[in-house]
Amino acid sequence: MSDNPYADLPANRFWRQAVADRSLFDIDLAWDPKFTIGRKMRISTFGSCFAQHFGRALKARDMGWFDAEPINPVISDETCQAYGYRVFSARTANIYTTSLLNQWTRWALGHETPPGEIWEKDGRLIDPFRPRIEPDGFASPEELLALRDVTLRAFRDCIEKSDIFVFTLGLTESWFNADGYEYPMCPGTVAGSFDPDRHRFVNQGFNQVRQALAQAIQAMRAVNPDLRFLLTVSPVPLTATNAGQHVVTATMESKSILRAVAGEIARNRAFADYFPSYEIINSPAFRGVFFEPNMRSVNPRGVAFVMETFFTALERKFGLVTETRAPRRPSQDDLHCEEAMLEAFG
Amino acid sequence: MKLAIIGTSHVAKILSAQRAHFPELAEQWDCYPVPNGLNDGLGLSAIGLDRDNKRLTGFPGRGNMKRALDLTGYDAFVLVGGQSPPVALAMLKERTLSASFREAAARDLLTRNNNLRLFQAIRSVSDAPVAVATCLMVARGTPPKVETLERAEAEIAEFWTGRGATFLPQPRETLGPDMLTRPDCQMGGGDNHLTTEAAVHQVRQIRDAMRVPA
Repeated sequence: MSDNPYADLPANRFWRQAVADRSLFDIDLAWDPKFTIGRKMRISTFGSCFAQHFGRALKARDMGWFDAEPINPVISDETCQAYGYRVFSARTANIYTTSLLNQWTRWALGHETPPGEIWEKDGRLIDPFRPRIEPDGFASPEELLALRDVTLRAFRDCIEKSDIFVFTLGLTESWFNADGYEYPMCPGTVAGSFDPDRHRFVNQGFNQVRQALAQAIQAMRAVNPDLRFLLTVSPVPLTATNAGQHVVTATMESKSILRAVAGEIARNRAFADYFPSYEIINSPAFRGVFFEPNMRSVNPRGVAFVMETFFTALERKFGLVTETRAPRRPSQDDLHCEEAMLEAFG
Repeated sequence: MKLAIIGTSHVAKILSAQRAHFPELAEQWDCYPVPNGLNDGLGLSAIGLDRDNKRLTGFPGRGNMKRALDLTGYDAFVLVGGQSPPVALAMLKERTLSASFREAAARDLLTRNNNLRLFQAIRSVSDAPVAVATCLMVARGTPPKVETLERAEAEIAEFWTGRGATFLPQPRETLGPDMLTRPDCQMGGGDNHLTTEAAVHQVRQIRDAMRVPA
């Protein structure tokens, strides 16, 4: 029998063996996924900026990233992404807070109707709930509302048809209208105008963040009981804070709350899991090497390391579920091409 | 007139039809096919310009095919299969998209393709006439409306005319009333190639378009 509960623990429970004595690239956070994410599963990705990397990595491995607003593949990624296509599974733009996720969910499932507010900028119209989705704004209210409806239907498709819903929690700081609905960005920053009597700053605490996420999950599973959730926390610090603290202090408080909520939600639900991309980028064990010089943006090496950790852990537990896209093999069309060539040229 | 036909495996069908039905063109037409699956999947994207020697290079060179094309050795060029898809453009018109995105995507369709890249490569060393053949319409499914497809074809034609090239739409003889490729005109089990018999219409179209005025 052990002298104490720590005596028989594996090496990775001890900082010296798990971190201090290792090269940072040998540090293995030993993520133990609750469920597999197979090649044939349909996976939706939403959330803060960092969620985009999940979508890209899934696509690069030929996994079932769900594009609910697909655009003809002959249109370039550059053009599509400038308009918010191929970024998240539907064209919601960033969903920074759990309360915004809940708001999109309620709208998409028809529990509430989106408010009629529309912003104007330089003669063009801006959707307050995704203000940068169209680089030059919309031409008319009809166009704006029709395209928001398309996205709401696509978001609903993601809820109803996905096997896995990946959500990256990004912020606790949020802006609400006096009528109760939430904006993804403070009015008056990108577009719109700030009205101190109408626009209310809320730095959400643990309970508010947890409750919104729990409600969103419950509403989604009410229409798709098999839906499973993979939660992550964006490691990207705040661009700016309105919380009356230094941006570093505000960032640490926000991220700590988000991390705690994600952990609690995942711990208490068999169908929800947490993947520690936040820790991989932000832990002092990794010495900040995965940040760009501005110490905010995550560099490509960091993204690659996170995704490699993700897929390696899945494969360790469930066997080969993915493989990096092999060089393009001839398709059936190409084979027919070859036949035509042989016929003509012998 | 010495004519170089450059493109995907669709070129092979044109060659088959020309051999079978237009033997008089044999001396005048050279074909440079690059199937999509060749060059490690790069297909036409592997074709580059050797400006110093005024050649296009990177052709697979299998069998009796040539590896390089001397741009000074031809009176005209035809580009085949490098994308100028009326269906994709028409679908953009019929889908709920913002006008701004539709415009950006259409620009993408028309400019980010091998047809334009190869056209610009040819034009950088040669003033010879260039014609651009569209890729085939689908053979099944729900196509865009006929009027939308016709509008898309007209826009593509205008795009090429504005650059001093001639657009060759898919020969009408190979299309049904709904602008789908007629099943009896295509082979391969999918929306692939014209049959040799159907490609006769394309040979005739190219011959007529590139004919030197009397």
